[in-house]
Amino acid sequence: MSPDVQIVVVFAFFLVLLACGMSVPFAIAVPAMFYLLLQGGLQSLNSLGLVSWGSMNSFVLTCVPLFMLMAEILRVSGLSSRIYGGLARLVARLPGGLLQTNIAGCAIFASVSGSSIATAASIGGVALPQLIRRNYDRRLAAGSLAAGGTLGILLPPSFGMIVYGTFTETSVPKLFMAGVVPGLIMTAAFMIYIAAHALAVPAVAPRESGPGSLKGLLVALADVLPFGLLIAGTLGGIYAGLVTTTEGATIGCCLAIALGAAFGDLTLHKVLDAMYSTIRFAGNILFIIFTAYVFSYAISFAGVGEKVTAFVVGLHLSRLEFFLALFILYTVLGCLIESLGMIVITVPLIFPVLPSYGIDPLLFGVVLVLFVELGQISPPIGINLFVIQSIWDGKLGEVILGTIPFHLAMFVVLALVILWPDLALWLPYHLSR
Amino acid sequence: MAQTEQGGAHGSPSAHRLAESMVERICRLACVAALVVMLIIVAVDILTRSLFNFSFEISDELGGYLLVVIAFVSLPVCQTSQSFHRVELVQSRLSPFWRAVSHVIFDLLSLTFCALLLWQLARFELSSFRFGDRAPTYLATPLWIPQAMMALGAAALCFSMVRTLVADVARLRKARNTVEGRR
Repeated sequence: MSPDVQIVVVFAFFLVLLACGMSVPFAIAVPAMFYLLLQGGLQSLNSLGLVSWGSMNSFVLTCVPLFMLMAEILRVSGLSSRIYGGLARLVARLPGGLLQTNIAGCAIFASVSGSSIATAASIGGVALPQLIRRNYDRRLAAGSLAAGGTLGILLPPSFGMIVYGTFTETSVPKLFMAGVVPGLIMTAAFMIYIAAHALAVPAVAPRESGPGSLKGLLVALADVLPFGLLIAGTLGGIYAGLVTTTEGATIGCCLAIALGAAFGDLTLHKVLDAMYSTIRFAGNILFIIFTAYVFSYAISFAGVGEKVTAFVVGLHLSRLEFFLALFILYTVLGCLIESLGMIVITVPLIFPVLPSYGIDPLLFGVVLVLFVELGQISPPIGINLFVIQSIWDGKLGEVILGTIPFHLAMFVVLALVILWPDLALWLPYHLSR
Repeated sequence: MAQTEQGGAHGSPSAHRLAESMVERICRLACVAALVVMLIIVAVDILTRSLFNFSFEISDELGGYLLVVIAFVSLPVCQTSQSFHRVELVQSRLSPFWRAVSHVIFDLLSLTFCALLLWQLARFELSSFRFGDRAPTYLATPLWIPQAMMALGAAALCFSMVRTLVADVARLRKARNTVEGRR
């Protein structure tokens, strides 16, 4: 079997295992092992111990379980309900009412959670019952929550960026900074779309009243305050260069425990529950990262990376054509591969090509995360579609249809970031220390 | 329609949680302990650095080791609680019999990977122990100690994979009997 055929067979094997329902990390690991055995027999496995140790003995990745723990503590302490209530009074007067609260709530929760699943589940669990009770358009309600949840991996902290930064040795704090402006633009784009839709078709969202009085306004602000403190405490230190990402996550965990006990109903039993969930979520993500390292090792063992780089460079694409090719690739992959898998499988192959096109690694990190966001609401396997479907009584088709306009908003933001890279790059290159 | 989910929490056709055995319980508690210790070590370092301008300079090293513990020792917990992501593109369309067949095939492939991984990690561990490798740090930690966690985690994962395989074979037999009963 020629080397070209081998890599095609291995990728086909990976896609078949994935589509047939094998657990994602094993669907990555088994073809990787098969590829290594094809290349050099049992001898090729000799470096597996070193690869395992080198990939997982990483202080940068230490922040993954810690950020997860922070999000889990917020979930079990009931603080996400409180912020939703506060935001509902602050922004519900905008056209679209509580639908605007969905997006604002997701954006704020995204700023303390690195995961879109946690964001969609935490805000969706609180919001959907209220939206349905108040006769909001079901399709738009579900779509706004599924799409709003994707902000979880664009607005820092973001697991997608942590994984990308680990693989490419790109600064994670700078990646976080690069995600801020596109994340805020995406939030604004979603809110503008909802407002426009609600103004054009008033039946989709009933008019809501605001805080009513100064006291009501202060109470609403007090509900949002714990999250404000948490975001400032966690991300403020990272951006200011005072603490590392892991230290920022640790401060976030300690603050979340303190705020959960003070403002929520956090108990020792709930903290333990949060830890058990964290172990399961972190184990899953870390195993995907580990198996992706094995896959990456297999690719470098076979020398495929250089061939792919030479092939892509040989196509003589312009920068814009290259991004267009990536757009097509990731749109297709987004429909087939789970989000984190998409990053870890493609980055080792595509990253070496970037210098040929003069693409900044930070910009590519943001664009990649935007592609992943799109994948998370793309049928048939968009994870956020299923998260929202699992917490309401509607059909999956309604959730999918509800997300279509948000897809379009994402395309616009993606195009803006590609055409004006400074939207992502200005902040990390001008403000980071 | 396909489904990507975590933990089969939404009634996935392929979600069959096993009861937690002693091995998985020990692994789960070890991971929680590692998480708590990680939090404490990093928090103490931040405090001493901020208040006394002094760092123990061990949090990076120990944090990495504890991540290794969480990454590998959590695997049997994830396996038995069905926490690994999976795509239900084909599974939701299969009959119970063919679903059970596919699970047994997946289990065998996964177990082969786990066994090869365990073999290599055990080799790596023995070599590290034999040569007395130490971390080039202030603590000069004998590396076989944290590296042993990788081999232990892989061994525990093999154990959980065997349990999963046994349960899936039993499910396959039951599905086959149901199909034959219909005939």
